[in-house]
Amino acid sequence: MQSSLLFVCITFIGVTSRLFRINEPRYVCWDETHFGKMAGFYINRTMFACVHPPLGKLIIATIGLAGGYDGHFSFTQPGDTYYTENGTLLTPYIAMRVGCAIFGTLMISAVYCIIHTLTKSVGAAVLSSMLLICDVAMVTLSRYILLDPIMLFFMFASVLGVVKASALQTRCSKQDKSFTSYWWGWLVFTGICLGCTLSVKLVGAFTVMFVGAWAIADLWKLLGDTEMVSLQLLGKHFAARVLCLIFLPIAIYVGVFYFHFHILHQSSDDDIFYSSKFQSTLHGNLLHKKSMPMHITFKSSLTMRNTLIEGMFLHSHPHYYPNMLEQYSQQVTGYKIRDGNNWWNIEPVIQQAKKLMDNVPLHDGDLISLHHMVTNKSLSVVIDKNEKWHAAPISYWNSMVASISRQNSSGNDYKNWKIELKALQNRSSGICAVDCVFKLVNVAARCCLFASLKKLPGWGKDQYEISCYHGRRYEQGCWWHAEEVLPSSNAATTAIKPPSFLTNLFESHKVMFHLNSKLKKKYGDRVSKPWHWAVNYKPQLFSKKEDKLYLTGTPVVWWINATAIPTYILFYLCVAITRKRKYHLKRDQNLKIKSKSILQNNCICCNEIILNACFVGGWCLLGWCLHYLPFFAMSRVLFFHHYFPAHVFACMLSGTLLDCFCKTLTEWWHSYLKLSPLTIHQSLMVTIIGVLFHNFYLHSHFCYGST
Amino acid sequence: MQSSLLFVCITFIGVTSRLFRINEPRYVCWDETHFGKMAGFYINRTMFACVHPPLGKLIIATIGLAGGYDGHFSFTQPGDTYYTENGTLLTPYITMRVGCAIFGTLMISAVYCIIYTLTKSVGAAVLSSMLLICDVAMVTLSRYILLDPIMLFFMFASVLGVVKASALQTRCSKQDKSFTSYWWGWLVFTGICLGCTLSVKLVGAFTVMFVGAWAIADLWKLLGDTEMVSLQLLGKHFAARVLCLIFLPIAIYVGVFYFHFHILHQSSDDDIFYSSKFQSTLHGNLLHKKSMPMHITFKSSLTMRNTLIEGMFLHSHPHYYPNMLEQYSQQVTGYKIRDGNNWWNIEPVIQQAKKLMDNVPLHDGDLISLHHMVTNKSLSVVIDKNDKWHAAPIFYWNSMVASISRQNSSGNDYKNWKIELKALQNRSSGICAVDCVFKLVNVAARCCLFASLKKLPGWGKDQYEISCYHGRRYEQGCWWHAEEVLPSSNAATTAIKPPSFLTNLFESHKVMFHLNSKLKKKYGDRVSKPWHWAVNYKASMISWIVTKTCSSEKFSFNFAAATIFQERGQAISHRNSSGLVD
Repeated sequence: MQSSLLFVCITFIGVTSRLFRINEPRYVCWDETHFGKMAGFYINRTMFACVHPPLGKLIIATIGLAGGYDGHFSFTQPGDTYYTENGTLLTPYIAMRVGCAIFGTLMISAVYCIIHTLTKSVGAAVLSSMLLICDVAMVTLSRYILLDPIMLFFMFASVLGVVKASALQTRCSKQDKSFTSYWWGWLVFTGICLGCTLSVKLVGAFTVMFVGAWAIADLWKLLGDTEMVSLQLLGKHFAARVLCLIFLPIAIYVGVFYFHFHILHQSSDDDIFYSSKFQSTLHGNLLHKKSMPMHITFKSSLTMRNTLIEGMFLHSHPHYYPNMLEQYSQQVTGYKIRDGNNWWNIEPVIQQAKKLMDNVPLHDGDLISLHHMVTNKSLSVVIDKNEKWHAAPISYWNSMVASISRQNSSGNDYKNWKIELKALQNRSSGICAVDCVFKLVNVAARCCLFASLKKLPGWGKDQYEISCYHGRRYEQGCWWHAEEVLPSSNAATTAIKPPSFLTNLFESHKVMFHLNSKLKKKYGDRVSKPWHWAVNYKPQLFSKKEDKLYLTGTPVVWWINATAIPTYILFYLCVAITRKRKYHLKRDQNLKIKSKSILQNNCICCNEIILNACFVGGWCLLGWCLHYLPFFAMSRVLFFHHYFPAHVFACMLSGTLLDCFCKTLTEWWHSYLKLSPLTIHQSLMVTIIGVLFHNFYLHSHFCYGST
Repeated sequence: MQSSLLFVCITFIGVTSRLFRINEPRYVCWDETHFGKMAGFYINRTMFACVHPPLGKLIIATIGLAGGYDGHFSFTQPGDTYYTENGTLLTPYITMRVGCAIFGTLMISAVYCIIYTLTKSVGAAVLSSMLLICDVAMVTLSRYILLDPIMLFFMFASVLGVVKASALQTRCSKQDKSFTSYWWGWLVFTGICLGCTLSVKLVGAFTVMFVGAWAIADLWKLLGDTEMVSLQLLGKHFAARVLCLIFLPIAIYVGVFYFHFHILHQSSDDDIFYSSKFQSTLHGNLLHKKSMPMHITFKSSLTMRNTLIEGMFLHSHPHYYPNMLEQYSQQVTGYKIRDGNNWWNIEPVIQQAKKLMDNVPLHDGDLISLHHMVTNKSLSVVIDKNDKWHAAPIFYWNSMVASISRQNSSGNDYKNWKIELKALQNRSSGICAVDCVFKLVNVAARCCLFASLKKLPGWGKDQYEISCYHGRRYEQGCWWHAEEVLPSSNAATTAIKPPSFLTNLFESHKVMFHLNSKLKKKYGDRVSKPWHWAVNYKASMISWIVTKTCSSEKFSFNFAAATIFQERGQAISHRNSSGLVD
């Protein structure tokens, strides 16, 4: 009863602190520019490329839609105002912020329930959630249109689920509620929330590990319970967990992506990240519902695209490689955008020419030469007088490729390219557009046409290097397919086969990881290092304007957390060592001799409260480690807000330890001060909460703005 | 009995497999070029810089010395033959290889003992050691002049020690042999071997962790033994381990370095890695026993060196920054080598000039200007017409520094530099050479003269960038000291104070880690990824020379590698034909 009342209070205080002045600042803050924009994309149904899975943005879009956002406001950059000059609201940003803030508050309620379930102590639950409520950083992170509050909510909801489910299992057979509908309910809830966490941000994987560890510990406990749990029952337990904690999250994750592809079907500038087949499903894209000649023939004109992510078109333009004779060195580059200079004519190599007609399809192994349509030059490997190949400008171990005048009689062999189909494709029926992936092998130089992801210097117009690769190891740059093919008069045409859902799923993950790998480490004011986070070393700027909003913690909260972690480790060592020395057994012997005495609670390793705090703290520490330590090994750019999942675990640990500390102090003072334990305990709690509130008040201008 | 017999057998087979045809190949293989060379340095007593601690190379040098190696053969590069054309042996490489091979064999014997002690099963011990004996990779690694066999021996000797020591402790009080001389012997043996492992290669740190984990497990077991082990006894156990497994290895590690500094006292090309004070201890170095003016005065001529590792001299030469007017842009660079263009004249700033005589020493806070001796131009921050500073070529957030004609009247303020001593130095007695570390602050531009470790492009002659740094965070590039100072007629001179042993120890570790950090990830046939190793995915080539004396074409790490090589024959034949080695 008391706990429910406090739960309502905590939730109310949480909501109030998050919603206070939520309309400020009245302009786009920090990553709102991304997630607001992407919500708009969902509403406009425009396909885009992003490093995060879709659910978080879908939820923001849904809230925006409910609030009346029509996708027109573009969230172009941080600092763009949400109002016109005469004060008209341009977009219902408040609804979206409120939505995120509510997720942020529900996370705190979940933390309250987790700690209450684990410790059975209202004090610990209140302290943990008050630490979170009074943290300026947590308030800042929960108030804007960001994925973090949504992800944090699902994270701790899944932890709550698994904790609740295993609380229903007891060793006493009468009270054991395994396999009741309640139990199934919590387990399914866990699975759903896990799936949602993963579908918001991929760091959810750490939460999956945490919940997995909890489930394994549960099963291990059941395995040891030889009296109550038969192997058959254990099998049922195991199967229930595999079903709910593995298959259900996967199903939800895949389902979210299905929904994502279903909603988005408009083309945009981000199309270049996707393969041509994927592009052909997007309305407005050049390839959408385009009919193409069935086969490429010996007289086709076509553009060719590499199969790398962000694949480039084979491009040439009348600029020259530096320090070379012009007639040998018209640049051949990779260009990501469709362009007239991407067009090439296929022509048969002379010896074969006579016997071929226009419409004979190309086959695997055919020799062709490629002529650049605009400048009328042939694609060729560059060789010097001694027939040694010339090194490419960046990948110097490859040969250089250039467009060379057709009249040039010498080195004609180096203009011949053999088409080699990738394995596992139908070799008999000729080479088709888009679907057929092939390698272009220069027979004379024994190398294949290769696109690297290296940008050429200034003289290359910021386009990418194309060269000829002699090895076999890094072949992934060697695969090309024809994209557009000019229809010839009498050839059969066909539409591009739409890719299957699984192909799309796989491809969009490749794009996600590709984009993620492009977020290299950089240096700047907003970037920080993982060790900065735990000690709140460096605030992260949220808004450059006059409000001066920072993502920075309430000092007292972060000091408590920073001391709680080493304290817990020391504390655990003390308990472990005293138990190893068997002090708890000595107490039992003493109890037999003396009557029940004060001895009951004055040894560290036999006090129920301390042992329970030890257990709960251990799991919190594990959660903290799982959500924090991996970042030390990451090579991508890191920001302060990546710490917050770990921060919540740290607050849970501090709350538990503080409560345990208060209770021990209460017992101790009770015997000296002759006050009722309740009075002492409550005054301690009120003092701590008072200090937290005061410190929050002092620093609240970091989240609410300074007016 | 049976176990001792088998032990002798295993050791014999091990020695045989390692020593068979040890004189082949008759040329320098792979890293023999490094460690052979360094053994030579010890014999010649020449100081050098290396990423590994000294012990392994000291052992190789000792073996070489015993075999008659006089340090003349230079192990210049892999593939150099050990024989002259008419078959005369140039260096006793066989002795050094045999020495390493014996360490490699003793490692196998140690493994036999470890497994026998742990499992009490002769079978397990024989199998473990036979697996090692029959591994082609292990044989290859043990046969050459490398640190690995020596390091592996010390590693497994220390594991053997800690295993033996804890085997002597039992829960039955009558048989418990803790604190007997045997027990102490094994514990001290462990400590010595741990120290030696660390002193051969720093990966020994992982072995320290393993042995540490074993010791902690041991103590934890004793802690739980409430009947037999009192807290006092536990304390004694703990203290014995701290003494033998922490302090003893540290003492040995430090001792090895002491010995290293004691042996090496000749200057070499590697001197540039070390600080000027360190260099002054080396015979043959310019700074050795050099007497210097006591203080830098307002009329001194001097060279200045940065305090970074591989510190650079402040250098200027009559080449110009690209795309700039020549009169404003004579390059100021960092150059690692002593050179006439490193010399600068100090001159007082005009306002102060009249009241100063030649011999007044510089003090913290004095304003000076610096004139390049050869080209007679002044060090200055480059500014444009609006008094905005110009960006440096690489560190574009710093200002550019150049030598500018002295007659140039505008922007004279940007030629004035304030000397600021580093904290914790005596500020009263004037600035001395070598010892005093200072910052040169450009007062007008409010930035300090900064050396980065970035090389300038081609126009900078492969020298390093010097710029003017406006922040305070990465100040380590801002510290300079005077190195050589031209003696003036009537000033008092003094010798450079030799650095203490601890300073040298600290400095040589900084150099080790600096060199190690320069070994970045790269790509090549010899480079592999950690996951390759456990599955023997890729062989590492020790030698790729086809010799007439040698029947097989390549000496590779493994049988399985042969098939891989066939698949990659193309790449290898390409390299063979590319004429790396004929």
